[in-house]
Amino acid sequence: MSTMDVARKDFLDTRRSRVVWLVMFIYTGFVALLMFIQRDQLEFHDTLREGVISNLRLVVVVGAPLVPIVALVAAYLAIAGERETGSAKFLLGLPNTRRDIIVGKFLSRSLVIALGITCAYLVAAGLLVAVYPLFPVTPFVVMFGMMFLYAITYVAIAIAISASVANKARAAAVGFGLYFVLNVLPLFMPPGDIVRKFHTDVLGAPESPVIYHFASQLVPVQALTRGISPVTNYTMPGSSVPEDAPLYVQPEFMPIVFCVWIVVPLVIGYYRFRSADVS
Amino acid sequence: MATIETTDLTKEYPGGVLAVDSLDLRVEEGEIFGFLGPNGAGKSTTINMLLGYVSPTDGRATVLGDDVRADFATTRSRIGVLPDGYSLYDRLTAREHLEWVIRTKDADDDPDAILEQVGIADAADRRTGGFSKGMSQRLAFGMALVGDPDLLVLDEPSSGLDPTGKQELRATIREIAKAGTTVFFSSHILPEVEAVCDRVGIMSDGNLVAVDSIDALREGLDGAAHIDLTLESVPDDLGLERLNGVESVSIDGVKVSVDCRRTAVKADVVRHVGERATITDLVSEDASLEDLFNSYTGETSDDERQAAEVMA
Repeated sequence: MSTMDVARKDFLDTRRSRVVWLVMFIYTGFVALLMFIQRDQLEFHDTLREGVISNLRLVVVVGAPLVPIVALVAAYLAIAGERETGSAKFLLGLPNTRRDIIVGKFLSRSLVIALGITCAYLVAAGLLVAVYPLFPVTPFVVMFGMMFLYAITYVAIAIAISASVANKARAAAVGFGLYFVLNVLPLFMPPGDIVRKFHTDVLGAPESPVIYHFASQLVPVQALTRGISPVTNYTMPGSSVPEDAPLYVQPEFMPIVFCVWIVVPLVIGYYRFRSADVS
Repeated sequence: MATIETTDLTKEYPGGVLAVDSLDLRVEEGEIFGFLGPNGAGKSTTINMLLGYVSPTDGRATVLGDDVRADFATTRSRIGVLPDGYSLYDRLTAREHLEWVIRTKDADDDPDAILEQVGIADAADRRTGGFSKGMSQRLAFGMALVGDPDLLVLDEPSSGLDPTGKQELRATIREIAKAGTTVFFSSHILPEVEAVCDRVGIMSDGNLVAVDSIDALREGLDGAAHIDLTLESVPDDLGLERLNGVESVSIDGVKVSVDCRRTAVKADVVRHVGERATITDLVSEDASLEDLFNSYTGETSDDERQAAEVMA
């Protein structure tokens, strides 16, 4: 199958890129450092378990802005880079369809990022076993899982960007722009607030908090925070949602948000790439 | 059946740039077809359309019987491509490049045999990041040979090769064509095309301005074949003008210059003169390929054209 041939060759190629591993090690290093230093803070929590979970949550908090950068760097050149240098002429001169290329590249870069995230969490797990009093298995698994999906989401976004533009510079610009929109802007302007303004001021409708929550949680970084909230007992101020609210604002829904974020960009990227002239 | 057939094939880039203008081209099975033209003539765009890199804005192209706009990926397992302006994967070795191509094409070639064939067996396990242009070109050619393709598309295949490499390339191309592979050979280097190609097509400004064998193209040229003879003495009635295929004769002392329509006529000229006088020296020259090329693409006639416009 061509998809796997593309993925296999691309993985072999990416695996040998120093840049990709460097950014991976930075995240792993951060995690290790954080887990190690924050060990002192355990005594300030009500229970040891709460303290350990709080430290694990910090790993996610650090990862939230960092992992997208890692994923974007690892994947934004996947296709655009090949188009710029001309190696895409081999890729497309072989019996590969454009879809084989997008899916193959996505699989390969996802594997790279998955290995990086797994490596960071293995280090965290090692430290939990070695220097921590206990290992909260469920919170650990939930946080690892959500972080994993979060990272893959950005790989999909990066592949979509890479498939949609013809050169490196544009891929970098669009990647940077999207990072700003998805990770920086929501800090100051949660999408929920924008929707609320529009909903109440412009449309003159009565307040409808569930919709605003839903809108906010469509941003990956919010979906991540919300997704891990059941195991961290930490909710962002003013963002609590009643238990009886609809499923689509519940934490359990967040993996679906991520899946949409993975599929939709890839589909858009595919349609843009399918009709693109590669010369 | 034609290996490549295009009808009205057109590519217009945004901004109204007509890179290829209603191209009708037919390349028969098993021939070595030379695709000539100056830079910017539309050669690359044509190749890009034939391989599905770029989609035509109008017209139709079929390669190996399949429409390039349809589900073309599977057809490419029967095509070997040596693109122009490519780059290799710097972090992969030569052998890994070939293994990838072999797997993707579902071929059963031996990478080492191919590396041997293109003369880089000793660099098999080196990453291509350190390859010279010539080595890269040899590897790229090797990649095109994988899977014994029915069609070989070579875009400027000899760029970066040294004279030995060029000779080996030519020999390999001939060998492959003899085994039944159609070769589409794009180049701006004329002697190269003449050395291997059965037929040539000349592109200019997005149009195919001529298609034929090189000899035939030469015949169509005024003063295509020229011969200068030096005689001991010039007889009164040489009668060369009456000879079939002779275009013009000028006599200057003991020197006779003859323009012929075809190369073959020159032999008749020599025989004819030899029967009537003693030839002491002869210099024969054909129109160079450059002359031929320029006459079709109108490259050097710029000055003349300007002069004509001024006069008009």
